Amino acid sequence: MIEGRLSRRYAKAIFALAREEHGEENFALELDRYVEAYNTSPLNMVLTNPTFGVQTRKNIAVQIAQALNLPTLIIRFLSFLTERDRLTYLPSIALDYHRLLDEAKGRVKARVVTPTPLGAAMMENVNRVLKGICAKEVILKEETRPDLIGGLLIELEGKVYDGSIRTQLERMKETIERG
Amino acid sequence: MRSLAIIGAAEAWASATPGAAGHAPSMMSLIFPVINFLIFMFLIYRFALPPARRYLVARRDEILGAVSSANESKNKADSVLRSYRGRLASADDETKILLETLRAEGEREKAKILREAEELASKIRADADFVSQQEIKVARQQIREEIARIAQGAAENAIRANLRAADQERLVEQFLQGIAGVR
Repeated sequence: MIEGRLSRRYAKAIFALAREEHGEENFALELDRYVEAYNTSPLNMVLTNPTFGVQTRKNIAVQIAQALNLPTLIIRFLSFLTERDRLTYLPSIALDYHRLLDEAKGRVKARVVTPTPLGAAMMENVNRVLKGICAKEVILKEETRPDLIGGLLIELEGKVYDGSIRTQLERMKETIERG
Repeated sequence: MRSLAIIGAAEAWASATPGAAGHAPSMMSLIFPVINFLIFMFLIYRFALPPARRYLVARRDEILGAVSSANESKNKADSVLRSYRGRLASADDETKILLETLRAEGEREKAKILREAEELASKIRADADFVSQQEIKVARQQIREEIARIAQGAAENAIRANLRAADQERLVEQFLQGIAGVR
């Protein structure tokens, strides 16, 4: 709860700063790179380890950011988070940042889950329909799950539209069980 | 006086008897014993008779008291005897009442035990019915679940075996039309 509030606050602040520099899209991409490095390596264990001094951790965070050629704004932001011992919030800050960015750009992300990959034409069709539903630009993220058997499942703005055969079979099973 | 006359006559006869001359007692020898006798009688009457009378009166009173006491004892014994006879007579009645009470109590206890046994049997029957109904429900549910599982598996296999790309596209199209229509 507290983490959510703090993350939103930090995300809002850094988003405002990025917009001032007209680099909010690029900032999002670079932030994702750092978050990926942070999540997929032992870096987080080092940067959040209290046995290392704050200054040491801060130097490590800055050096890694510089090695990744990240913008100065991100380097300053990471330095600030390390000083405040809030680096563990970085993944959720990144998520909130993306949400703010999508809101500002009038777009929304949707997850499309199918048993086999849909073709480009079908994805375009899905995109068109979802855009009609939410009246925003839709960024699709496709995911494959063979256990769905057929049909598809869409997550859009917190809602789930489930048209998979797996779910229909589950409903049929429940109906038979109820008698 | 009659005695003195008899004594005088006896002395006169004895002095008239032949050959008795010189041996007949004189009047004085007769009178003194009589006087002695009278004195003796007087003494007896004056000194011995009152204590003897008192003794006899006391003895009579004592005997009367003893008789009275014996009568009282006898009356008491009769009373005790009557009391015991009454008790014996009432003991039979009490025994009858006691037997009747015990019999009635036994009947009540028997009826109570029978009633409780019937209630218990009824409860056991109800419980058994409930348990059997529950088991039937559970068994039915298990059968339904098994049928549902088999049906789901069979349907899944049939769909997997027969679903083509065109079918998938049609499913997606239909679904998209559906959610677009709901909007």
